[in-house]
Amino acid sequence: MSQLAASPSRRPAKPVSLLSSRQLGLQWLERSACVLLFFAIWELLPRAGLVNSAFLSPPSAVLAAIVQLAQTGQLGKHMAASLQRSLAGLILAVVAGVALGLLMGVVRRFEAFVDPLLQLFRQVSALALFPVFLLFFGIGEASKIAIIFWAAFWPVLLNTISGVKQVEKLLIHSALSMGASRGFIFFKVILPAAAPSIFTGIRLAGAYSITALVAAEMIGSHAGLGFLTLNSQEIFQIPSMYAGIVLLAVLGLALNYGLALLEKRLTRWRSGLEFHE
Amino acid sequence: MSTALDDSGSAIKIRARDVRMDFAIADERGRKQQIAALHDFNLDIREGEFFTLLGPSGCGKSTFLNVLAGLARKTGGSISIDGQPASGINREQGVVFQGYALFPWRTVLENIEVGLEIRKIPKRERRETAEQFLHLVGLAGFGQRYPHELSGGMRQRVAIARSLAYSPSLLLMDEPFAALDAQTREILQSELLRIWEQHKTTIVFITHSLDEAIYLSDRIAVMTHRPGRIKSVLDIALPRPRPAGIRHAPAFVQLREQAWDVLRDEVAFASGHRQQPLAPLLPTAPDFSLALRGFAI
Repeated sequence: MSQLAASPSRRPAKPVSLLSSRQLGLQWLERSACVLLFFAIWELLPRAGLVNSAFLSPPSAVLAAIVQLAQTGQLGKHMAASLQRSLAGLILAVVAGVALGLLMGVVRRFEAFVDPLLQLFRQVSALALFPVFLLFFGIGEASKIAIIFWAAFWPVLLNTISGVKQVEKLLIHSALSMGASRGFIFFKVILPAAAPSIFTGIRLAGAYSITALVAAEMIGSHAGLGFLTLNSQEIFQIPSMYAGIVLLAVLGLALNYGLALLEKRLTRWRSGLEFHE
Repeated sequence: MSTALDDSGSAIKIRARDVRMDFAIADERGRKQQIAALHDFNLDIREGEFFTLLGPSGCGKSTFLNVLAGLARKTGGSISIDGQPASGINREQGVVFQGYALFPWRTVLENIEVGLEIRKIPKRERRETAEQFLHLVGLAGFGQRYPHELSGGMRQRVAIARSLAYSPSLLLMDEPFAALDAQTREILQSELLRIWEQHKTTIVFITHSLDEAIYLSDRIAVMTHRPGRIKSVLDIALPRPRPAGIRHAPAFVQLREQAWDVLRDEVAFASGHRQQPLAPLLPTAPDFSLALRGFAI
């Protein structure tokens, strides 16, 4: 009996790959072919003298610059400064965006009241507001975190609102029919049902926060990848300027990957949903 | 409290008198119109019986169930449950919906536990109860699965287990098997009877299938096409327990003909084969904003 009961309760097995390692290798090559080609052309253009190498450093030189930055401890310093700022802005935006979004999604009157103002605000570019933030918060960290917050706040807010609004009524009716309190419906029905949409917003916010980070660091800062990029250009350290750009992309990728991982963990019930529905 | 009795001397569980339900809908010119989904709706449902509301689609049977469940507010009339006027959600009820309404982020066991969790039953106790009901509906071993990993029939078994787990005295079922294929449907009908015979809760069941109604019920109320009211109530005096083969018994066939005679005209009106003044189409899923009060979902 225990065996019988055990067999259906095991977790669904991961789809077994039918591809051999050779085929997998080929598949990998196919997927990365475009990127490899891009790096090859990038390497070739300055080396063949088609582009002035004073303006475009080949990837090998960029890599050397990154290694050198790492050795002198500059890399860690810039990375840490950038990561700190973007995470601070992002976390504040997530907390505020989710809280306000839930409130607006649930209380329709409040949404109707606030919505016109928010529609206006979301059109205001974070970069345009930077001078304002500088005035209010000074040239230090606060204004930089404020600009990142502004950029990351909107996708979180809007996706939270739409997530809450799209919760299936049937689920709420079903909880109501069992005598659920408002608190139960809010925390145990609406919040988990809206979670996938909220996470879409958070991942978008992650990407936006990096964009805003660069702009924030180009004014009045002494560390950070954005500062490194602009400063290298000013002192004509072209390889390290490209290193800054590459590292910003890597930071963005890492942030997105981390958020995707977090999403997968918190909405684990959705795994395999695409195959079944 | 003295229990009300009906003509046959049975205790009354639910008494509906002159229930009325109007919806405001906009016609093609955008003008608001009042449509009566239920009108002069009178009904007595006995304690412990399996009672079915049968009618063509759009006749208002689901509307009545939603009013009964406290999910929609009636426009007029009175409903009493156990002698008490019904208002809002009755905590002694379980509702099974056609669309299962399981929470996709909860495992099967966690879904069955919801009603117990709402009633603040301690975790260990509710896990034990949930396991028990998982067995009852024949899903032992599937407790750790998520709803999307199950078939439609299995999901509806979970939904039935969930609504029984907190021991309601009244089970409301809104076309629970309508989305299932014919075979699964027959199996679940037998299962439902088996479970009901163990628990003997009062069941109010909604269907548009004549066979399903006769096979399951003690009594069937046939509803008129809009505005919905009870046209007649049929006694289904078939012996219990009812084997699946009873569908071919002469008594069953005779009952079906009898019920079909009552139902035929209503189906004809509903499907437009009779030239009768038809009321404009109703939205089949009325907005229950009233029940949600403040929740703008």
